[in-house]
Amino acid sequence: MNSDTRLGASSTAMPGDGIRISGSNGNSASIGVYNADRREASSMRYVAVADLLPMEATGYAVSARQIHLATSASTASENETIPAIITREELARELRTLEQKYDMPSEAFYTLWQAGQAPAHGIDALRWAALWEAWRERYLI
Amino acid sequence: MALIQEPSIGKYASRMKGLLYTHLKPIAVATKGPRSIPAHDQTTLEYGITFCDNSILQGIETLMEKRDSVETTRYGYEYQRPSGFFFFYEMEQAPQPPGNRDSPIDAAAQIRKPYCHLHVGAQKESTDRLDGLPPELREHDGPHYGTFRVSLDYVLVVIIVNYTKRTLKFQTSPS
Repeated sequence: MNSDTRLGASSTAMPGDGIRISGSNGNSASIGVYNADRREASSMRYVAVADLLPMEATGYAVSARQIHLATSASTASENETIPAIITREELARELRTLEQKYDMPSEAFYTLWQAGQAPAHGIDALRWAALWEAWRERYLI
Repeated sequence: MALIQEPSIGKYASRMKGLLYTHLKPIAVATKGPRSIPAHDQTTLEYGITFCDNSILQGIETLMEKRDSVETTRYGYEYQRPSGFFFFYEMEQAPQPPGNRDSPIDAAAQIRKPYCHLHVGAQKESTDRLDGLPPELREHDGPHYGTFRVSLDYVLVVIIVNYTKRTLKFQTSPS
């Protein structure tokens, strides 16, 4: 089945509160990002993402309720993941790679980064800072 | 207000895995992570998704567990199109002190680099082959456009609504 036909989602402008997106199954999720009073995406929840997507197995959009049951911490205490943890070797290797790429020791980068003057930008800068913080605190030893 | 609804980083990571590996499956061809970089009282989660149009989202979030809640202290979400175009939502470190509210210098500093901001541009590899591209669109050289605080969910919706229209066929009707 073509994904165009199986989703059937539509979005409707809601005065003052951004867009409301409805899945083909009738469930809906409010996207509150345009709420000028709150200025935060506080009501933007995972259900909104899932409602936009077709589901391969059933051919229907995933309902908010299904996602909530499947992934919410509030419904399943055992539903907790320990993500893969970076190893000390990976940490050292990735720090070395960044130091070579930007021709700068990590400590110097971190000082500059805290002052908003780092030569690295984007994901690289955030990763480098996180890697250095882990290394500096010898957390993984 | 916290954007993360889960009471622990483990439960947040669990929901993230559900999103990345199950719910994005129709539009993703590869997923990496989340991988954790722990340090003292914080954990950084990083992950990546390659979508079926070869665009890529890389995310990194530094999280701290408070009592029954998780607080994001920094984040970065970088979405790259095969054309070289990218956008990058970022919140880095602590907010700048507000300074003197009557000072135009302090106000300018806040505007120049807002706490939560967005970069839009083209990656260096692309700008090198695109003649006439304005320099402010090169990598992260352009302005920091202030935004509200965003989340992975929000960024995914931005991508889905803007770049998967053909697949998902949205219809927007007037109010």
